[in-house]
Amino acid sequence: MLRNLSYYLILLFFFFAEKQKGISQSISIQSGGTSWSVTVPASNITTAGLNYSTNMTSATNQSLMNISTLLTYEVRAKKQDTLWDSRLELYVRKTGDGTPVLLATISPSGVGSYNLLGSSDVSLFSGLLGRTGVPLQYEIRGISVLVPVRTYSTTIVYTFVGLL
Amino acid sequence: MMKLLLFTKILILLFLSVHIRAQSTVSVGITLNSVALLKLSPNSNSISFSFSTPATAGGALTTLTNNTKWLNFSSAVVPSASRRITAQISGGTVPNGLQLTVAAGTAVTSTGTVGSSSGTVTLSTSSNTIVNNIGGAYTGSGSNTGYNLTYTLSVSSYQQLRSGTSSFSVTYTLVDN
Repeated sequence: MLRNLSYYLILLFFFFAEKQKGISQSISIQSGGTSWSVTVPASNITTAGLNYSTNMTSATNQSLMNISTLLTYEVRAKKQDTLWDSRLELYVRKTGDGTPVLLATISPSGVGSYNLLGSSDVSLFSGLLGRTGVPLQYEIRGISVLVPVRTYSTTIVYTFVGLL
Repeated sequence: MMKLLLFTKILILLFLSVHIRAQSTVSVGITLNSVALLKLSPNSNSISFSFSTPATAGGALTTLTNNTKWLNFSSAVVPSASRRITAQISGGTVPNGLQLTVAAGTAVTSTGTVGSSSGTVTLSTSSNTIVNNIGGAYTGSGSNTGYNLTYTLSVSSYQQLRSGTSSFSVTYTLVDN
């Protein structure tokens, strides 16, 4: 009797897992927020002899992230450089919680701290159950006349890790 | 009991192993523009030289110097590019019989590829390089930072020397190599 029950439970578990993989577990960036580019005006240097003294910061809701899940999850981020100078530092943070489904939680809540992105994943936030429109903000630091003049580009890769 | 324990272990292992991963991307770009800013510190006000009469008949005029001016600049360049600072007389000429030179010292409290001084350069109405091979750099703003300029006015030919007052400008330019 117990043996049969075990088989049923295992089968049920795998059925549930496969359903989640195929249907409900995902993240997406809403259209319009899938890119951010900025030009640093030379006029930011107010007088000869000085370096840039400002960071370039995006809108607080530059990207809006949708999360679809039935259980717990973690959102991680890293960057994959196309052409980037190591003196330029790219940061990302969440600036709000978006719209949750019933009973959903998120941590940290509200405005998070900036996370420096590198080639390895860093944890941005985690939670339980899905939500839509989590606002993300970007900031580039380290802007300097010492960095060669050109256009730099990189790709932020958000990874959703759901745990059944 | 053993089967239940085994089943629990299997379930825990499966639970831990079932991670669902999904990805989404955002592209980010930043464009840095060329920067070429140059100024004199503490200001661009005039410098005056006045030769004093020799103490005794037959004495030479004493060479005059001034090192109150500093060159400050900010420079951002494309990869592998460089710049130079040139100086030339404009809006007049150095009086006959006199020679005006300028020498940029060593860059102080400056950061980056600040270039190097060309040493003492005789100023003329043609542009002459006084600092070369500047890349991405900034000197700081104000006196006592950047390149200190030393002007030297001397007699080159007593034969051509005439009394009087002359004025002219020295124009500094930060140009691409």
